[in-house]
Amino acid sequence: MTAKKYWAALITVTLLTIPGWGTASETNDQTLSPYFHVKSGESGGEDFPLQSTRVEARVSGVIADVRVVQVYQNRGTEAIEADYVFPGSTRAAVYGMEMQIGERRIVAKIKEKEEAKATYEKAKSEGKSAGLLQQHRPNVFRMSVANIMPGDTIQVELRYTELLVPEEGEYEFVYPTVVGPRYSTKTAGTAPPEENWVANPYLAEGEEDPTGFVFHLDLEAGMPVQDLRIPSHSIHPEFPSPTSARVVIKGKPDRDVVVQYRLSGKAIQTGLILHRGEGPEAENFFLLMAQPPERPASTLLPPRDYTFVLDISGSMSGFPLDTAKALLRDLIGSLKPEDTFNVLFFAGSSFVLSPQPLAAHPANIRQAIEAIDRQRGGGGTELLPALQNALKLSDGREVSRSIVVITDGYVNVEAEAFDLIRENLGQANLFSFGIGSSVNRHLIEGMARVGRGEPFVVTAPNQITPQLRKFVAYVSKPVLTGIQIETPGFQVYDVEPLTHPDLFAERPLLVYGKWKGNPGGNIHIRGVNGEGKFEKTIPVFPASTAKDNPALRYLWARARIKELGDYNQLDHNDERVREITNLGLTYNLLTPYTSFVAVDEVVRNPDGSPKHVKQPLALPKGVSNSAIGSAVGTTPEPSEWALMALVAFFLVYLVRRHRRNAHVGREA
Amino acid sequence: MARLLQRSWDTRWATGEEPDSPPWFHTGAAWLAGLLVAGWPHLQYIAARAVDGSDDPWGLLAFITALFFIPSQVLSEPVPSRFRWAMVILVLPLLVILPAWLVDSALLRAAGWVIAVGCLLIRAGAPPAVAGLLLMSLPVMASLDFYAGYPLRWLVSHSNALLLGILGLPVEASGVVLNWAGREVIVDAPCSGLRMLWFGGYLTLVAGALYRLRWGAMLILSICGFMLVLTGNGLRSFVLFFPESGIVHIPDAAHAGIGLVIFAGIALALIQIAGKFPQGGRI
Repeated sequence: MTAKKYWAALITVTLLTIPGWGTASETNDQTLSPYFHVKSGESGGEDFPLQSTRVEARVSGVIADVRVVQVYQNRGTEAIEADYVFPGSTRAAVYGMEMQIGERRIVAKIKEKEEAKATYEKAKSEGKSAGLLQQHRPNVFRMSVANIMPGDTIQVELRYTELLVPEEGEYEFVYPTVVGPRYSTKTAGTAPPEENWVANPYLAEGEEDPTGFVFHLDLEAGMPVQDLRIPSHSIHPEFPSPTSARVVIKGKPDRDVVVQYRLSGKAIQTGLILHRGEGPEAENFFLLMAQPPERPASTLLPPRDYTFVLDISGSMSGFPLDTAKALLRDLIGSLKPEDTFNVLFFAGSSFVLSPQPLAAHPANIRQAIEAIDRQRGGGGTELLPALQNALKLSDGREVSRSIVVITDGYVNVEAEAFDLIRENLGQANLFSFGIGSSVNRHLIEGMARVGRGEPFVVTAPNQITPQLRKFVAYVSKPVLTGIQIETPGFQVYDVEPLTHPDLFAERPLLVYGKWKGNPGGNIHIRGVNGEGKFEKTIPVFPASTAKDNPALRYLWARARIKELGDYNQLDHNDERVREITNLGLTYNLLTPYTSFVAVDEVVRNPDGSPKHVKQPLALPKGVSNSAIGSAVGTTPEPSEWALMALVAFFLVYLVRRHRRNAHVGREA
Repeated sequence: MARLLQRSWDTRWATGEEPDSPPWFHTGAAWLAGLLVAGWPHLQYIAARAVDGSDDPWGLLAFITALFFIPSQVLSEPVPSRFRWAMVILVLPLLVILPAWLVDSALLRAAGWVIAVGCLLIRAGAPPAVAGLLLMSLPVMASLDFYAGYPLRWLVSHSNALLLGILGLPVEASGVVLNWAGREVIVDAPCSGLRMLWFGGYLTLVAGALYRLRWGAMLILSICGFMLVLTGNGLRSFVLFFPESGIVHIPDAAHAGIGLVIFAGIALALIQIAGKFPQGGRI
């Protein structure tokens, strides 16, 4: 190789390192993470563009229609773009958005995600006020409002509908108010842009949140309401009539609003709802809610092996971990002597109580409880390695196996977790307990769904006992297995879900779908429970269409989207992505691949470059500052460019040394 | 057609006629170009992974460096006929046809191609380090991060805890987290040492190629390089524990500076070790 080639190579390499000269610290290799809000210190700046959120929910029968109004204000002296990450119900079908600026009301259009973003960015650069609503998770959304001028008040309204499905005769309406801080190992340089929502500012524990929150719920059950409770807030509902109730909450958005109620006589509303579309090409929809059989009184219970997976990360520190410990103590205490168990603790890493499953003897139970009591919350939330270890734990015995995961779910690897569970679960069942005032319900519900188990959420210590009782009943006595549904005489198509998982909870069977022709015939439900074969027939009456139910369109489409994408990791070339996009565009629904965009055509900011402001969020109630992890040090490597500069230097040294040695050798 | 050309070439040789320059399609350059064209899908895959953000782009540097170490006579001299037939019968199917049927992973198929190219170049006189450089051109950093990142971090945190314990600091290693006096120092993803390992490996192979080290020497040098980088990364994390846990206070720039000084020490040691081996000669 000639000297010219050497020098050419070295010069090329040295030129490649120029961008890294003088920068010794890591930038793009830093992981995405939430951070504490720091006041900008600029006079005339607007740090909290979201002034208030007003929620108006109407529950009619089993369908809830919710209107959320977010008010953005700019009390500063320069135009801003507000960015607000907020949660939603995992079952929400978001079907509409409107923006109001002064007297002007703009109805948002649903577009393919990239197209909507491009429309929004173009409007922003042209100085127009615009709103963009995107979905990052089934329960995490982001509202961006561009060109909020000084003194402006802009109202953005979004609407969604969801189905309330009772469990053990109890209905629950949940309105989440804050997205908890998420632990992420994805780096800022390599994570896709849609994951950047994780890097959001949070207010420190105890810091005042200036954002207002008002919640109204009007319930019209159609049957007498009894035992209405609001475990999340200390307020009293009003009862305008025996079949209706009203809940009003005014406060801070720092915890989920949870409203639970039963109907008199422990009745639940079941039956068939039909909707006939209008026009020659219109589609007709149906929703079946079928009463399940009662849980069998007693069955022979085989020995069971339990693996409890307990989250002891920083975000669990304090109240959530104390609650989780109490729950786990009771869970282990409820095991029978012939059962076996193990406990896996995880934060930044994971470790097990015992290399082999332990028999549920008093001595082992005591040992486990002592180990649980010693744990302190701290570190990251490496859920995937923990799940991997838990799924591998097995001593080869042929026993029924249950994995119980206890966490607040503050991670952003939901899709990866679902895939991991789906591919490695084998014959076990996975149950998940979400602990905290604002758990990540998408993760909790998803893990249970793909794990063929059930999710539980414990928001307060007084819920431990009832949730534990439910868990014991679910595991030992499934309600219905091997479920099959047929519809002779009733022409249906596009039915969701295609297959039904085993039913542990006493919850109505749900079937959505489309129908054609004249409604008639029957719907047969078959399965097996602890007492043998189960069969139920529901006749289809044309009179069921007497009442118009347009919400069924949205609910059907949401159910289909859920089956296609909520619990699956999708590549952007996947056919399912195209189908979800088409569903969003056809039925005007917010999905991971379709977004709402509203543009006010009046140019109000000729400069076209508003200051970007992320709305700081309050920490969920009970979550401490260690969830943000500001006090933790790390030891990252030098940047790649700096390493390359060093390598280039030593290459030059190497070449010169080699040439000198070669010259000396020739002279010798 | 090839046989006719071959016979014409051999006849001219047998008659004592001084052969002209070999036909262009017999030269090493032509065959290398043919291999590159045959492996075009693999080159596309490597380039795509380097620019789409899913992996680091340094593999392209390793590939270009490998090409520089091809002896010039390999390009201009004719490839022996038995070699050409071996390439047609064995290598081309290996490169193009079989992998697509048998191997599902694009990375493994690309690895097969670079190994084939590397073996041919070495057979033709290139130093063994060229094969290593070609392997380093593959987009493996993301995979290494996933599979080896956590074990390396675990090793760093536990070795640090041991060393700090010897110094009298009761540091507890919990996975990749070092706990001391209520404070935590995490050996997280960017601390695994994989980048230092890659650049250390690159320097090792360039030294090996430059010095034309033989297989045995190259293997020993690679092992030394690996151990030096692992030790250096552990030492870096050990030293940085003190400022990160608040025991001492140093400027932010010094944080990266410590890592660079340690890496410079590793690089110097590698070059000194490489210089100790017998050099040069045909492999």
